[in-house]
Amino acid sequence: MKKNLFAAILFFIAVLCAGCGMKTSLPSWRHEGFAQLENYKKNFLAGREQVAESHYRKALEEVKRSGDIITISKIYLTKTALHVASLRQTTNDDYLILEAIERDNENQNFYIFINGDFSRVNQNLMPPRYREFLKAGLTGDLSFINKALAEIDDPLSKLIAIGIIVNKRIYNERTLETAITTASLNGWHKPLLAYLAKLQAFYESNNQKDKAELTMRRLKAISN
Amino acid sequence: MQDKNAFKVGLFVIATTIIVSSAIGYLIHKKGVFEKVYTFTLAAKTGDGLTKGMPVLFSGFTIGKVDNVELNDQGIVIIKIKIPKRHSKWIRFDSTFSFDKPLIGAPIISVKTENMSSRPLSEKDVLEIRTVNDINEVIKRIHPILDTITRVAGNIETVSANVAKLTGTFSSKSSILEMAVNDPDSVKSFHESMKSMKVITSRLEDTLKKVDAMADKTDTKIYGSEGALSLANNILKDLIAKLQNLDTTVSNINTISNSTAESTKDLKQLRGEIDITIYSIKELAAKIDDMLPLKKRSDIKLP
Repeated sequence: MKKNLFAAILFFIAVLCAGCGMKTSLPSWRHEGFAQLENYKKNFLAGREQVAESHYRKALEEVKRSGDIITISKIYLTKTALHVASLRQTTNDDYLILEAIERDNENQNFYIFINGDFSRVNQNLMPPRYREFLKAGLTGDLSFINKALAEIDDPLSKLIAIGIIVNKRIYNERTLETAITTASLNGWHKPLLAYLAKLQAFYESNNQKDKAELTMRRLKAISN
Repeated sequence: MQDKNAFKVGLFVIATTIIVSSAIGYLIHKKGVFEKVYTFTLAAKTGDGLTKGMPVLFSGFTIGKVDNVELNDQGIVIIKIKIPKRHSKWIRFDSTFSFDKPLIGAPIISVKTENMSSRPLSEKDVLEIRTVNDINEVIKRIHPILDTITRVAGNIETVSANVAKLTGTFSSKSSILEMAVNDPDSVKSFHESMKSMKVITSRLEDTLKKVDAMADKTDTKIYGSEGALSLANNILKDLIAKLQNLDTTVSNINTISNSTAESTKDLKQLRGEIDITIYSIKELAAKIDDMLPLKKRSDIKLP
């Protein structure tokens, strides 16, 4: 019994040391920047715009302390991606200004991707979660695209991908319902409302008045 | 004794005789009896008006007189003038003599000397005298005026004749207007317009009376004790009273604002301290995070 306990303690200490050895300490601005950015994403998608904006500003403030242009560009691109995911218009001026100062291939590649110019995207520079979707997007085959969308694990990435494809006007009922389900599961009120409205418009344009009516009622019921 | 008296009488007589003679002599001297007199000769075409004893004037002062007027063999009038020595200096060889016959007053001979430095006139020289006849000059000037007057009189006669004709024409017209316009129809229509103008004027008068009455009422409604102006006055007074109250309130608000400003400063300081505390806690959390094994690295990445 004593031996087992002694062994367990030794093991715990070893793991602790291993953990300490593996991790290198990040600078505080990166910690803080990351935390603020996460809060921004959470609040933006939840529809709490003012709070989200405050966190966004703080995230930028933290990262700007370092003067790291590439990381600051990532923050701008994150904002753009969130707007695309929520089917909202936004400008890319902030990112473009920084791209002119210091260009990063990964950032530039992502920028091209969220603007829907799939033919110019370098697949190797894309995060793995988007690669299948990118391939499907290049084909333009809606069933292939919907399948690829369903395979994206990360909900935000999924929503971003759907936003890109809807902006390119390549979508159907299933695409929009995937977006609605994802937003609903995560309590993301802003994209939820946007995709419901899009679905209603889709039904109306396809002369499915009953479904359109039902969607409109659902929309009204969940709106503030 | 008688001899003495006779001597005294004789002395008296002699003295008196001397005195009187002296006086007379003095007077005669002053009168210029013993003064030398120059005789100058003048010539004229006509002696009309010239008389002996006629004064000779220089600058308005009598300096001599005409002594003699006679006709010579050539039919020229020779005039002798006597000038006493004391006045002879005014007579020069280039002096001009003129015989003036004024409209009013006696004729005279006047002398004008331009250059006093020229040589004196000699008694042997003969100067021509110029005649200035005022009456003749006036008559000469009147003649053209009289001609003009005659012509004007003739014109007046003609105009009078025309006026008489015009009067005759006008007397046949019924009104001055017809005289002026010379068109009976237009005169008639003018009279008719004047009649309708009368009607319009009387209607206007009625309207003005009504307006006047309305103005009176309006006056009362505006200026009367219960009029709009009085009401506005009351409202203004009320407003002033309320504004005064408001002033007090604003002063109080000011006081409160000042106190709040002070408190705000404290709040800012408090907030600063809270921020510092939060950051310290965050840093501590980050350090603990780093210490925990196998925890996911929190780094900024693309979504």
